[in-house]
Amino acid sequence: MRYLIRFLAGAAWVGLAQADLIATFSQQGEPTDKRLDRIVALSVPAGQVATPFLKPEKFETEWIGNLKIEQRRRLVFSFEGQGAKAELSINGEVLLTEAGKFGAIKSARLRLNPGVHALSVKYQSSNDGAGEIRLYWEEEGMARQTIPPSAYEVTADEAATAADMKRHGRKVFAEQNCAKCHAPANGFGATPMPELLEIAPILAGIGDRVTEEWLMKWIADPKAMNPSTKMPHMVDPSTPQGLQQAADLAAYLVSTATKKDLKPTTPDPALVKAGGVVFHELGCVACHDPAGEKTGDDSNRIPLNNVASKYLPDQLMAFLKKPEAFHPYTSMPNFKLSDDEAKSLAAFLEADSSGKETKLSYAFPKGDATRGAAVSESLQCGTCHPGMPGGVSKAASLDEIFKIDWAKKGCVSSEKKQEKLPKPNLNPKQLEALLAFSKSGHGSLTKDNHAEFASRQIDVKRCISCHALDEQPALLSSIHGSTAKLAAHVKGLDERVDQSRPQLTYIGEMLHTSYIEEVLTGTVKERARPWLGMRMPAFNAHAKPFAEGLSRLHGFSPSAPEKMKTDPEMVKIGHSLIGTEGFGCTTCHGDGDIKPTAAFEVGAVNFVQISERFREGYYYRWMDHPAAVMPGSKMPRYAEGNKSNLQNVLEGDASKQYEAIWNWIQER
Amino acid sequence: MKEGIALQVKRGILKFLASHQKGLRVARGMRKRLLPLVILILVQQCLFAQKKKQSNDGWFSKMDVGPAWMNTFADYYGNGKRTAALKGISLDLGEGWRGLFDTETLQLVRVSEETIEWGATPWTGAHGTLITMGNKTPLQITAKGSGWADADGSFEDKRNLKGFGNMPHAVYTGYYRHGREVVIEYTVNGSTVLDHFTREGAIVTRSLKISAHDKALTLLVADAMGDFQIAADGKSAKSADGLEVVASAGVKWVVESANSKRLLAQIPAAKTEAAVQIAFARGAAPTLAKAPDFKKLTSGGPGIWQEVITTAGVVSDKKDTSYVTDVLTLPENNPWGANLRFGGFDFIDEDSAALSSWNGDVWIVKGLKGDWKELKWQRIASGLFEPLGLKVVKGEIYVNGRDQITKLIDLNKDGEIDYYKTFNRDVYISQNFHEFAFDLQTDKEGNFYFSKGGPVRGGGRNFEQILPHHGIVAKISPDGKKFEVVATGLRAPGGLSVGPEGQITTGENEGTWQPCCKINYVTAKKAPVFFGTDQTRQTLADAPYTAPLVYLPMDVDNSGGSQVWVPDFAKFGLKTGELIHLSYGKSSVYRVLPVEKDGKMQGGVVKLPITLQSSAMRARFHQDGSMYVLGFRGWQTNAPTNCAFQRVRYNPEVGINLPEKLEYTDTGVKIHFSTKLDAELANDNTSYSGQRWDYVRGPQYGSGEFSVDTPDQAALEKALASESQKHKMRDKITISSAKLSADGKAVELVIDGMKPSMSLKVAYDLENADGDLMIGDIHATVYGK
Repeated sequence: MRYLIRFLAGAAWVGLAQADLIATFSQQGEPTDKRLDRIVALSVPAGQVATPFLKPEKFETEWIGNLKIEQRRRLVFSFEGQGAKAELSINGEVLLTEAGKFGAIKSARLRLNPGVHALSVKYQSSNDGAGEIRLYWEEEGMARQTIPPSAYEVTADEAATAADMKRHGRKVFAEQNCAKCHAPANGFGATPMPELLEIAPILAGIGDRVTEEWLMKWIADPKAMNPSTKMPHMVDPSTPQGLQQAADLAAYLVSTATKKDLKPTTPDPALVKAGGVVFHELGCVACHDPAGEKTGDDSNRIPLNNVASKYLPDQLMAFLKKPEAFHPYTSMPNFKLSDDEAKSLAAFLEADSSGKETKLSYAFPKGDATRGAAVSESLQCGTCHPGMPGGVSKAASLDEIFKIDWAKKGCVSSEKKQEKLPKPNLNPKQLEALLAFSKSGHGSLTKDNHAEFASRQIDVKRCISCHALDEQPALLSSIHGSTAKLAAHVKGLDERVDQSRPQLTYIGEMLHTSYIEEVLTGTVKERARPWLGMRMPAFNAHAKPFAEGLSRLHGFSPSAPEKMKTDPEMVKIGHSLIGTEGFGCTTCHGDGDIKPTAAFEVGAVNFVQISERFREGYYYRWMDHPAAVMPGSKMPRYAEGNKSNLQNVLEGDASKQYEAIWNWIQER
Repeated sequence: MKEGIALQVKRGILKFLASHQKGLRVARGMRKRLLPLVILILVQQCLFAQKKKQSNDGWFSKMDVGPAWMNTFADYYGNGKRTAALKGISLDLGEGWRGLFDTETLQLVRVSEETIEWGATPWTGAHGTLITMGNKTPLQITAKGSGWADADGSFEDKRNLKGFGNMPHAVYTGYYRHGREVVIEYTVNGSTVLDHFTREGAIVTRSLKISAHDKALTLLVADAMGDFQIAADGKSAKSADGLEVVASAGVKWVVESANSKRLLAQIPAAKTEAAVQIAFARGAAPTLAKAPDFKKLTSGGPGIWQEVITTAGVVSDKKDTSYVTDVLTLPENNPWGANLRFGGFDFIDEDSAALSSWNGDVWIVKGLKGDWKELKWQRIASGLFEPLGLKVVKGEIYVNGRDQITKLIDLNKDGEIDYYKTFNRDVYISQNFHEFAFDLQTDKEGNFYFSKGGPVRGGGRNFEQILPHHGIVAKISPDGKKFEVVATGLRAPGGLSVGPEGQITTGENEGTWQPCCKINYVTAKKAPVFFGTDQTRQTLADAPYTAPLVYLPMDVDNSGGSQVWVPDFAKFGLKTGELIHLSYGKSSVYRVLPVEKDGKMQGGVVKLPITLQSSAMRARFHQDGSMYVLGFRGWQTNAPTNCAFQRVRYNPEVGINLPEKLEYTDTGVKIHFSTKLDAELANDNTSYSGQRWDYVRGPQYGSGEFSVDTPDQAALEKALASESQKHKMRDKITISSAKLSADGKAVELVIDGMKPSMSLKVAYDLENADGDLMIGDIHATVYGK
């Protein structure tokens, strides 16, 4: 997922990017869109689009890239999915062609020497525009499995780079809330890009939550307070009028406050210390720069130096307990903090940021609430912040702005100073992307593709701050040590087993969509990995389409566990295989209330949690070679290829033995 | 604990019911009234049992461990739990009664009707929970310390390491078994003592036979919860909490002056053998049991496992593989519920072998020479302390347990052991679950060797209290008298080997100061050496780190077993003097390809095409040229069964197409194969690929993999401060050319920028001259050419 990583890094575009694969989409014989993909996979239901730049109709896709081969391999390829046609070529030779429901045939065995081999997969959807495809490989010693992203590489050509840029610009357009002011005349239709429906924070009652001083500073110079904020500059603080507007708006916002003259309290040092441990243990540094510290990377972590000066007493704790209360689309997840955790974490954050707030050189005049309401009306604050005056946009409509050259005119133009317009906070890369998008028309905003949505959400929700993806390690792995001192006094923390979070590389083919959604909404009943000091917080916004998108990103339709019809004989064999007569899985894996018999470091995932989580196909991939799926996994490999170490059960056929265990697992 | 109480209450009620069953009508009425209570208790117990299924209701509670059971035991003393005996013997006194004797302090720790609270890794799998004698109100108990006064009359702990090891004045020498009776043997102040326990109802008699002693001896009798009073006639003594003792004539009771709850017995000096008896009881006056016939008890007695179990071995009829594995079916369904996870073995002769199990048994299997249709198994010993090494020397069986090396002697030649003679017990142990005593080997001079783990904490990281023999290789002289440390700095050396020239090798596991598994190697001359774990450095304070012959990545070995040297009588497709490494975790057998440079050993491994039905812990060559491999599953392995003992035969019809020698050149490596190669593929550099990487040896658990070509200093430094296993930066090496030698059997590979690396992986994809595929890889360590 190289392009996502690049986005997150915020680096400027230089030359042509390295990616995994280039997918070219055509409709009615015309190339329409290109996309940088991680794997050969898609899953599009009829009536939806393969990319937002396509029509919801029949389409064709061709993936090209190189297959990287480290040492000589003898590979057999196959498809799964369905469509009018799928064709695999390697080094220009057609190796496999299939139509209708895929998976009935496999390619001939192909010997590939070390090096790179040109790969092409041509795919035609069904006539109704539905499409599903995944590409598999297998060889002696490796069970059939989807080809992982790490096996591909490609240098994006100009067209692909441009398409990538345009796609990114579309994301910037949505997340900057451009369409709130520049609204379409007739709405975005029934299937809009989901981000367009997001709203900015609800400011009702904000006077009971934050200080007037912070509000003034924030309105005057949001970028100074948070360099990656999406809040545009709405006033010009270099002018007295601008400062007055900021002061008036702040006065208006706090005018409804019910509690007056709240005095800040000094946090209890013991609480602060405990909060520091929570800060470290939850890995907050993955998304935040601790107060007063900038670790120097370019991951746009949100600074915490203004926390003490921002929140009124007890309000930080309330925010931490439910960050989405007044901002349903916030990127800050809900950790389901206990009262003790929230209280101590708030104490720590306040103590840590006290006196470190951003200093602005402006001298703010006294604000006036009545004037503030009028300012809100004139700046149209209400278009983004529901409930604020100015909810009706007077700006040019969506249709109109897509007729002009944004480089020359409008909010992002650099041609001349646009004093009255909001100035969005964009880095050069975002700006470039936005300009590229402006040339593509706004049609793509009325439709979306789940897989692309999931890719964007991985970025927005900063998933790879905590989780490894493909060959990219989690950001937290490299920076978590920077807060270790906060918990250094807690004994035994550094003696725990590996504390890294599960990787996301196979997430869509690994987990049932229903389970991903439970994870995202924080409704999982039992944690799968109770040994982690950290825990997965809830990201409620868009959980359902995000979960669906992750499945489709891997070429799978959404799924939920189904009651499988098990074979009693296989269940019996499976039961014996997991016990001491077989592979001894029960040494490390608990089974419901029965604890693992001798887990060395920690118990592995409990058997009862497997069938609600795993897709069957992934189960086999995992069983075949756990360390190949998750490097460093402690789960042993019990067979090489299909030859099981256990020779006297089911003829030593590993896949049959795993099937028996799968049958048994279904009965848990 | 609730469960324990529930059990006791239930027992009490059931006993009451049983004793009243006959006759009394009143009792029937009571039965009716008590029935709901019994049901309630049973239901409660079921609920508890469900929750604690793993801890008290497993196979272990049903296994007959024999009359004497060596282990580390905990118990309840005063208000809390304690480690009652590090090297304890729990004696079975019948009907749930047990006596616990500490063979280091030579004290009777306690005698009681017991409820065993299960724990300990080989039994419940628990890491860190000891097996506990659960009766909180035992008949007799003593505080930790010496069981006998020294020549100065002092009970003070004068050991070098207080609380650990043998007492200077009193040393355990073994025990005799006669039927299910046991006589413990030791010396005190130079005199030999035989110590025996019998029980009649709730009265326990301790009978001692002591050789001539010119000075009186003082024995610790009991530490009671109340003050002791000696009877006016001096014959008996009683504690305020109800323990009453009586002794044979001549014994003088002494209540310790500083501690009136402690009772001692003074045994007068004697010019000839003295017999002494002490009886213990509560609630009734004790009476001495009939004096035992020590001569009879120590001359071998009736066997207790006379049933010989016959199994049919599974001899493979495979003809198409290089090696064939035959499995000796284990007598798993034996009448004693003995769990047979064998962890040590040796051949007694061509037809028989002795095997020691993790749960303390030794068995003999006969019939190796035949067709295996009738393999005869006999249990010959039991109750040993996690014996993971066994060696037969001149027909005599030596077993290495955590507490000692025991020589097993069959006095009456009935096939069962009746004298468990201490061969050497100098090893210090703690209660830690992980300080296994691995393997038992000898060199050509007859010295014995074993390796010992470090006391790893329950979670696998770091260590508990380090004692002098944690993480070492021990060498014991042929007479058992001298105990030397020849290597330190080990963490989990799962097995070892002693080479033809006295070379010592060990396996090792990833962990604190151990970046990954490895094969340690040292010549006899260079010992003692330090193998890397700083906490178990022991006396070698300034010794440099002795790097291994090879570092093994996790996918090659994640838990090492023994090594074995190929003898001249082997028919195994390998040459005499070659070294084989066993991977416990990967159930695999590796051929070691050593590369020697200036006396320093380096080299690589290549996997032998052997499929095992167990982990690979121990291996020895049989006179018939085959290799027997033994392994069980006690910690993580991909072994497909709990335990298997198997014969691996080489099939010369198929042969092996493997690298047999490795050389490092200025520009790369030269690999010699045992067969002629297809020239086209051999000369094609795309037939090879490889990687190299380094590890960081440091205080963290394990190590990541670090680039050698572009060292990442920040990452290397960070790896010392926090765990780095997720850092995987292998350098891909470029093999720029490959050249087949004139004899067609060796290839010289030119590797761009050939340089030292802790790991070098070279994969090959070739064919032999007959067109058979040869795909494999060598994992090596390069210190220099």
